[in-house]
Parts: sequence; structure tokens; C-alpha cells
Amino acid sequence: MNRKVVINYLLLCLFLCTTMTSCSPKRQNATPLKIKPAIYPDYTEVTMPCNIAPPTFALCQPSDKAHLESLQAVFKAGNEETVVECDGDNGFCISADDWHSLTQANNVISITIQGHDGNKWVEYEPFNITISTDSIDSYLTYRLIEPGYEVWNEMGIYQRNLETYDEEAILTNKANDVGCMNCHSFCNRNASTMSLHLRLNNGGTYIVKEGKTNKLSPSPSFVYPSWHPEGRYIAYSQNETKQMFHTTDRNRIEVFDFRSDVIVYDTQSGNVLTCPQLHSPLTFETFPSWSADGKSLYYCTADSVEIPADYDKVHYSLCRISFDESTGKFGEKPDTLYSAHVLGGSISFPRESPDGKWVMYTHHEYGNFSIWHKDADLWMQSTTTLHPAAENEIIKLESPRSDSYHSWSSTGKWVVFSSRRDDGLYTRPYIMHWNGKTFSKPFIMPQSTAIHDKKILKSYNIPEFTINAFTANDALLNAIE
Amino acid sequence: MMYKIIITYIICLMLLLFLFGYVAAPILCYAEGWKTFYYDSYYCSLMLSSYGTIGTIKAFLLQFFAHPYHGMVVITLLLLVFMAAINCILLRFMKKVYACIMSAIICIISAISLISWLGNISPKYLLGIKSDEEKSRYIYMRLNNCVRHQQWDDIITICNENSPVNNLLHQNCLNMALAEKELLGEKLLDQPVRDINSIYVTNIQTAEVAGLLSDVYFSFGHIAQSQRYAFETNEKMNNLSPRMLQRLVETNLIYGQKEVADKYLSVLSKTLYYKDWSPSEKLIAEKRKCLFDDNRFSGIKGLDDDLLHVARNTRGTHQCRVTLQYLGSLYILAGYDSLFVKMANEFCGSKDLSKPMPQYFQSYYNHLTKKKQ
Repeated sequence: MNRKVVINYLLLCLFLCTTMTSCSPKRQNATPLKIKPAIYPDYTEVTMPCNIAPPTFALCQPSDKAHLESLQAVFKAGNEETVVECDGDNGFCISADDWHSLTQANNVISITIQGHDGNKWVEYEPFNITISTDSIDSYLTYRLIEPGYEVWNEMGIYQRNLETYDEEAILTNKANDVGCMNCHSFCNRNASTMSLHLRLNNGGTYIVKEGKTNKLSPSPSFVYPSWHPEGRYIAYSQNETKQMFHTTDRNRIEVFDFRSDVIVYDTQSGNVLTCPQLHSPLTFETFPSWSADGKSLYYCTADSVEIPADYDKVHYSLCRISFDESTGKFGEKPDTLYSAHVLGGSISFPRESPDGKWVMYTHHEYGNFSIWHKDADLWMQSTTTLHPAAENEIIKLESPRSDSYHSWSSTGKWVVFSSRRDDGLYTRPYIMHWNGKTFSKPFIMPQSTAIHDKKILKSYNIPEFTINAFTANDALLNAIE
Repeated sequence: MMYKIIITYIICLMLLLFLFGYVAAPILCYAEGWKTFYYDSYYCSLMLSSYGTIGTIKAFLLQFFAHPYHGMVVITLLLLVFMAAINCILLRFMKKVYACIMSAIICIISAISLISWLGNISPKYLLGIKSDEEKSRYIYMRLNNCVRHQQWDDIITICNENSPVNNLLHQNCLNMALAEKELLGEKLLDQPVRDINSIYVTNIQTAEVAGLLSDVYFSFGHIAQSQRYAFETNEKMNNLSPRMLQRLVETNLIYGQKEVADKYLSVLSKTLYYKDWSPSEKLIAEKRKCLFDDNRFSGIKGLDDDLLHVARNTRGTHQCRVTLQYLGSLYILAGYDSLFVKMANEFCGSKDLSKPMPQYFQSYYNHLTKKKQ
């Protein structure tokens, strides 16, 4: 009797194994369509870091042709081959194990999408994903918020593990009775040292350092923070900001400053440092950002004009002023790296590369709130030129829609930036590789399903890399509550 | 014995149909505009985190009121099943007839509680104990449903039935209906008016009022402001309000932002009642004419100047006539005499503003010109 049962079990196992093997998808002998596939998100011919979570994507089938059925993607790298079936709207979701096997097999993964047209199997031309040995910082922190007007509802600052799809809230506005929160910033991409600003309920600037949270007192309105690399100073700007709404302009919303100045906060003494160049009544100064070595401070400055009447006549130049960390003194004469008077346009968000060789910034036609400017693009120039950059000395990364806030990874090999290139309104984090000479094609941060970013009705705001996870959630919550 | 049970069930059915089809329909249809159910795992988890489990069940039940008769039938059937279940339980303790009557009573009480819970309205109201505030809210829900479905004649009828119209939100709905019927200049002062707030409320205290403003601005032809209030209302409703999503689809299409409109359409495609909805192409084309040739900030020269711009852009269309009805009324209510005369001189006698002008416009114009002489 027992023997019979064992035999039956073995037969059942054999049957299941056979069925499962026969059900697993296989590469089909297919007729080439001789066209490249249109996929969403667009991961064709991109370069991805070796440690990032697998990309998921779906085929955008042309509406004027019969849809292919039984879609599958054949991933091939060296001798490794994996076939993944399409999971409806979720797209092709390759498992992490299969993806890592492929990334280890070769630095180029070729992907072929196959489908059945009712009569035969057909396949699109393959596309490649290049795997870089340059790893990316493990975490990305951003604020999730609607790209809205004046009111808001739920928002929060979240950290995403880039090696997996795990997303965790650092702080949501449930902690401050649906107040507003913004301007999270880390020292040297270390999540244990953070500054952020809350508005309305329990409003103020909070500094998290070594597991403890302090609120700056009295509560000044300090925004656009930048930590000095040594961790003692934080540069902020103080802005008197207002927004108005366009009736026809494709930019929808305009945000402008009536006044803005740059200050540096000393976390040791609690003193506020500044200098006439950073705090002039005749000019707007904003977007402070430390150089990688901490010996100078970048900022944007524009002649003050009548606001809002001349809102489109505000043009910010990019300047840099030296700073002595030991004395807390600024230099006398700032350098102008980009002169809006000479080249036109306006500069926002300067960020120096970790090796100190390059400064990347957002260039747009006018003003300073680039996320609402469809013409906003990322530009980059050398930090060593001592004169304002000429047109041909600038690397321009252009796209038809707004590319705005950006930050470098700790290795200086990756840049993440917020972009509206997806649908024109909802901001998504895009990542690109820098090989020292050129940038690779940007790709959207991978999600567990292809449809994820289509569904979410919030923007990813202020993406910042960190090398580790933020863990002082309780200390932060206690300080706020 | 059996016929008594059947009669009890029939009476109960009639009562439920009356409750859901007549009394509760405006309340539940109004509530459905802000909340519906999405057949998608992502939006389900969003609903669960935003509304909680109970709130998500509420959204599920409310979805059927996208069409009042569907809602009435579905909920009535659910309650009859509930009544039958109660009846079965009670049969263990009492005679058949008593069990049936008792279960019918429980069913009606449950129906009243259900309406009260789904529609956020006091059960006292449903039992006929109506405070002025609740009565006013009920009328507003009826009016707002009509605004949503552009049933302008019904709005005028409801307001006439509940005359005098003292509530500002009611006045907003009535004046919108009158403007859309090109009758505002003729009937502006037939009902009480306070000031420009009778045309559009400026004190926005709730998301629902912001939603009404989106409708008012859409009727004005001020698409930017309509989009703004629709976006903000939808945001306050956790991005899940079907009627605000519909408005966002419309406004984004008017602006030519098809990809954004598609995003909202894809959200609506996860619902039972809006999955095949698409806006009228004629409406989009008409409203597109309202967009300003030269960009400016909304209201930077005053709302009236924006409306004047819309009227000039849409000459010879229904929209122009509607906007002029609003504009003339706003000038009268705000006391902008010279601007009123200027507008009358510019448009009177054209296809867009008859000569003589509508009653209240003409008498105000005569009064002003006499005063000047």
C-alpha cells in the first residue's frame, strides 16, 4: 500500500515537472518584423548600473494594426537566455534572479519581443541594454506630491531602494496634520544627516544628525538647503515666493520670488553667515550649492525687477564665491560661470560633480522655477574656466519637456533628474550614466510593473541619492510631534 | 398566510424603491461624483489607504449611482436579500408573518441608515425632521447633480419651487443655469442676490465648493481657472473623484495636452460606469475658442477683464452670449458702471447681445445714461 502511494506521488511529481517545463515560455522561431519595438518605459539602448532593480516594460502596440497575442520578451546575455511572458498591463516583469544572472553573463543584454499575429510568430528587432560596472548609490529619496496649484492633500518624503522596488516613507504629512514639507537635503549623500523644512503645522527647519533631530529656533523660512561636505554648515536661501496661474501659456503655473537672499547656517554655533554678494537688496540670490571640496559656494543671481509685471525678464546667472571653512568668511569677488547677460536664459540648481570638474545646472528661458518651464533642460560646463562660459563650452542635454532638479551619485558616474518628458505634467525620476565625456540615454527609475508610473497621480520631487537608508524616523517624528 | 408575506415583501420593495429612487437618489448621485470604485489593484490599495475598508465599501456601493436607476435597483435588491436573510433567522424565534414584518422593518431601518451613511446626511432628514441647513443641503445636492449633467431647465424649476433662493451656492447654480440659457440678464434680480458671490462664491471652505467653482469657471469659459479648481478638488479627494477627473480630461484636451488627458482617462477606464466615457468633441472645440490669444496671469487685470477677453474671442457663439450674461451681471453686482456701459456699447446690437438688451441690463444701462445726462 505504502509502495503504491510512493509510486503515485512520484508519478504526480513527474507529471507536474513535465507540465511546468512544457509551460515555461521558449524562444519561438519567428518572422522578423524588421522594426524596432516601441516600449514603455523606454529602456531601448540605455546604460544601467549593475546593481539596479530589473527594468519592467510593456510593448506599445500600434492602434492601427492588429494586436499581437502571447507576447514574450527574450532576454539574452552571453550564453544566458531567459524568456519572460507579458503580464497584461504590468508588462514584461523579469525576476531579480534572472536579471542578475544576465547582468553577470555579459555587459550587453539583448531583448527581443515576440508575439503571435494570429497566423505565425513574429518578432521585433532586438534592442540592447548595456550594463555598466559603475554601481549606483543604493537609495533615492524624493517627495511624492501632486503637481498642484495652491492647496495640497497627502504628501510625503520617501526613500526607494534602487536595488529592489522597496519604497518606504521617511515622513508623511500625517505627522504634521497634513501640513506641507519640502527641501530634504543630505550631507555627502549620507542619509543619517538630513535637513528638511515643514510648513504650517509644526513648521520650521529640522536637522537630523547622528540620530538626533533639532528644530532651528526661531523658525526661519530656510529653503533650498545644501550641506557643506564637512557637515558643519548648511547653505540656504530665504525666498519671498508667490505663484500665479497662466491663462494660455503652456507652462500652466509661474512661481517667482519678490525677494531672495542666500545665507549659511552654522550648525555648531547656530549663527547665520552671509556677505553682501549673497544678500544684496538690488539682486535676487538663490539656489546655493557647495562645491565638492567645500571651498566655494555656487549660487544663482539676477537683477531684481518689478514682480509680477516683469516676471519673464528675470534672468539668473551662475556665480561662485570662495568660502573659508575655518573662519566662516566668504571671498571678496565672485566668479561668474554663466552670464545670463551675455548668453541669455536663466540658471537654476547648480550641482558640482563629486570630482569637482563639472557643474550641472538647469537652463531655461527666464525665472527660477524651472519645473513648470517646458523649455527647461540640463546643461553642464567645466568648473575650471575662469571666465563666463561661451556657448561652445557648454554640454547641453535637451528634451522637449521640462528636465529640472538633478543630483549626482557619490561616484559621479550617475545623475538622477526630475523630468516631465513622460506626459508633460507628472514628474518622474530619470537616471543617466556619465562616462567622463558623454551622458548615456536617460531611463526612468525601474518599477515593479511597467504601468506603475502611468497610474500614480503624484510627482517625484527633488530626487536625491543616498548611500544608505534613513533610519531616524522615530527621532524625526518625535521632534515634529 | 403566504399572500401576507408576499404583500409585506411587495410593500417593502415599493418603500425601498421610493426611498432610493426618489428621496435618496440626489444625495447618493451627488456623493458618487466625489467617490467611486476602481477595479484595479493599485487604486484599490489607494482607496484602502485613503478611505479605509469601510470607506472603500462605501465607494463600491456608491458607484452604482453614476446612473440613479442602476443604484436604486442594485441597492434595493441587496436590501431585499438582506431582508430575506433576516427573515430566515427570525423564523427560528417567531411565527412566519411576524418574522416577515419584523425583517421588513429592520430592512427599512437599514435602508435609512445606509442612505444616511452613504450620503453623509442625518437620518432625521430622511424621517422628515428637516432642519433648514439640511433642507438647504439637500436642495444643493439636487442642483449640483443638475449642474453636473447640464440640466439647466431642471435647476430653474427646482429654484422656482424653493423660492426665494437665499443660499449663495443655490444662487451660483441658478445663475449658471440662467446664463447657460442666455437668460441671466433677463432674470438676474428675480431671485435675491447679494453681490458677485451670487455668481461665484469667493470664500472656498470645502473641496466640494471648489468643485462647484470649477463648473462655474467652465461655464464662464475661463478654462485655466476651471482646470485649477478641478485639479485642487480632485487632489483633496485623493485623486479619485470621477467628475473632477472628467473635467480634467476636458480641460487638458482643450489645452491640447492629450497625454495628460489620457492619463486621467486611463484612471476612469478602471471604473464600471466611466470606462467608455469620452468628452464631446464639439464641446472641446467650442471651449478651445475661449483660450486667450495673448497669455496673461489669471485675474491679474480682474476676472471681468478675463471674461471680456473670452467674449471677444468667441464672438458669434453660444459661449460668447453666456459669457456676456455673466459679465454684465458681474458689472451690475460689483457696481462697475463705466465698464458695464463700455461692454454694452461694444456688444449691444450684435448677435451676442440683443438690442434692446435683456431686461435688467437695459434698465441698468438706461439708469446709468440718464444719470450721466
